[in-house]
Amino acid sequence: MKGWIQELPRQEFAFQGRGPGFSLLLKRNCSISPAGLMWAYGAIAAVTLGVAAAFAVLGAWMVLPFAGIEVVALGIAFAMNGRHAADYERIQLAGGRLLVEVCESDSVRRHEFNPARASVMVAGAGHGMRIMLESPGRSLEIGRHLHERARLELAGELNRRLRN
Amino acid sequence: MSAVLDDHGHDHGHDDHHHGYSGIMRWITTTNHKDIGTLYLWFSFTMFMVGGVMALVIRAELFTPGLQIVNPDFFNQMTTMHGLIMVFGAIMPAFVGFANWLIPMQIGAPDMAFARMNNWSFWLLPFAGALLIISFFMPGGAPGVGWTMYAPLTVQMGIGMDFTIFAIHILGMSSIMGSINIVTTVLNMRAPGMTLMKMPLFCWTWLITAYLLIASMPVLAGAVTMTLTDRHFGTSFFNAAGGGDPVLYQHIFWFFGHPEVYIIILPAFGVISQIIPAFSRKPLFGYASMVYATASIAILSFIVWAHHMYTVGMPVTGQLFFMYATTLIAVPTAAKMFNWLATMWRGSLTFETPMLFALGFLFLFAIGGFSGLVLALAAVDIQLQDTYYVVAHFHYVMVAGALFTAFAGIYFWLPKWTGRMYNETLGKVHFWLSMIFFNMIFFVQHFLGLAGMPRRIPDYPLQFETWNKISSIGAFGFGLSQLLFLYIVVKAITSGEKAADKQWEGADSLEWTHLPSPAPYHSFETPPVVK
Repeated sequence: MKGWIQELPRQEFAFQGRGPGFSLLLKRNCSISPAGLMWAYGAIAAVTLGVAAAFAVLGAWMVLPFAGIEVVALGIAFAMNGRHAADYERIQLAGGRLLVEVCESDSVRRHEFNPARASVMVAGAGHGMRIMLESPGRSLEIGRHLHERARLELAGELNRRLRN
Repeated sequence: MSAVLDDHGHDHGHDDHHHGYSGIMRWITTTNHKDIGTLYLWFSFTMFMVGGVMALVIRAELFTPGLQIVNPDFFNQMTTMHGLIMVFGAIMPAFVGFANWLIPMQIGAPDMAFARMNNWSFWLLPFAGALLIISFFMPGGAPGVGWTMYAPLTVQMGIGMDFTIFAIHILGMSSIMGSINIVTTVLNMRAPGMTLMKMPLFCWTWLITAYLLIASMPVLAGAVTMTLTDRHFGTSFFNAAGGGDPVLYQHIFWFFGHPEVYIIILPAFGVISQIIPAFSRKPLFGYASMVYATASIAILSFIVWAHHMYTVGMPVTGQLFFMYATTLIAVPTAAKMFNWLATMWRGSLTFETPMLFALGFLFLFAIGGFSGLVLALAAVDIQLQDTYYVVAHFHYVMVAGALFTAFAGIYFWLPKWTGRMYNETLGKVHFWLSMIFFNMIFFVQHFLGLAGMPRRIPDYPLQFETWNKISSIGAFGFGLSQLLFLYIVVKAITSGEKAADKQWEGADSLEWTHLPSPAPYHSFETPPVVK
């Protein structure tokens, strides 16, 4: 039987561009848009608080605080999960410049490195393993959205491309 | 093209083992969804056994007329705690266990969204279960008010009632945390390409169930808190002498209580919707209509609560509204039945144990559904209110509906969970014993109810003896059959034959197509892409 869900070959990360330049975007997997999440939250909050308010009007006001606590808890959960949902790292080599754009929560920071002097180092091992983009006097952690094995692959591939 | 990668699993290694503590501390500290799913399932089975023993005490007392084994007060305690333990301790945790095991694997996520909260959700349960059981040893014993905990009887109970209220609060907190986790996981952590309308139906039914839980649990929490303040803090929410209204309690309780029925049965529908296509070797017929039917049932469940209260005194227009609204639920439910049957139509059917339990569910849930329609009719219900007909009806829904489905699901996914296969012959024996004994217990209770035997009584007139004897024999047979189930599962785990990665030819969700058996401790650290 042929299933209705078909899995495609997995790409850990994909460099874009030909020749000496490349562009790489690393981001978390998030399957809902902020607007969609707001709709989902609004719908359940409206129903829950509406029901509680109706009971409060009928004299059973003690439903309301429980509903309030619950709606706040759900909001905190969505906020905690959604705060970093759009985080990404973009690594670009173009025009003789190595640019790293890091989006974290609501801030975007851009870092520029000299590709001739930059290298990728692996720090630590196991669960605490990190990869650092380094040039004299500067260091930046990259690949935070990858698991350890993919980080090692990224470090090797980036080093190879930078050397070329 | 950008890579879409995941960092939820950063704390995880890449081998197939858990990390950190070992022994009992591993289970206490685990944040792994598979471990927690396992804990939920074993807790559920333990409580199922405890609640089952209480059911056997009830049926032993009812074997013959007269008072033989327990006094009426203890009998009432048994009926109350049997209901509470089975609903909140056995059936609900069983399906949360399924959710924990399956949702991340079916949507291609590495774990639940809030792994530590998941651990807390589970570990609240043993404390709540302990409180319920400890209440038996309090002065006055456990509450004997029925699982619905109607006021003003609750005000008159001993300290065991306070233990029960506290337990309900803890169970509610656990459910809310579990629901928040499930909603966040399903909405945010689906694999690339897995749109909502491509999710396996089990995930859909749990998403809708989690919404139901979030909307209805504060109502129960408010109800039991008001009961507590009426008992100890001088309020009169439900005390007529102080200006309160006991009927208000019934409205509040059933506003929670009826959605609760669907909180239990919707995940069961999801399990069935995975199993029937697998053993029919066809995709589920009418997937979209199944999703819409599930949502319709959930919405309708909020406007039918007073069909539990036809006899409390309500205007005829109210009775008519709740009667029509209740019968309306038959429409999406029938759509589901039609789709399951259409899935089997011209399929390459085989009848392994999961499929037998799924078919048993279809047959028996249809009977429970039809007796529900009978009870939805106000004029008929007024005759049958609080008789054994009602007991028969809701056990056809709860046991044949939810419990049979849990058995079906366990047999279906056991090879994936453990990497071992159960004994198929013994599984089929378990099914047929359960099927025969279940009907022995509950089918005859329809006759008792129609003949007028009230529920929740330890003694009864001689005219009801024959059917009660049959029912009690069936109950002991059913209880013993579940020991066979325990043996089958333990045998499979310890010495079952190795299961294939895709044990069931027709299963097509990600846990079967993408993961080995047993599923690795950490799965989908990198999500698959689905088209």
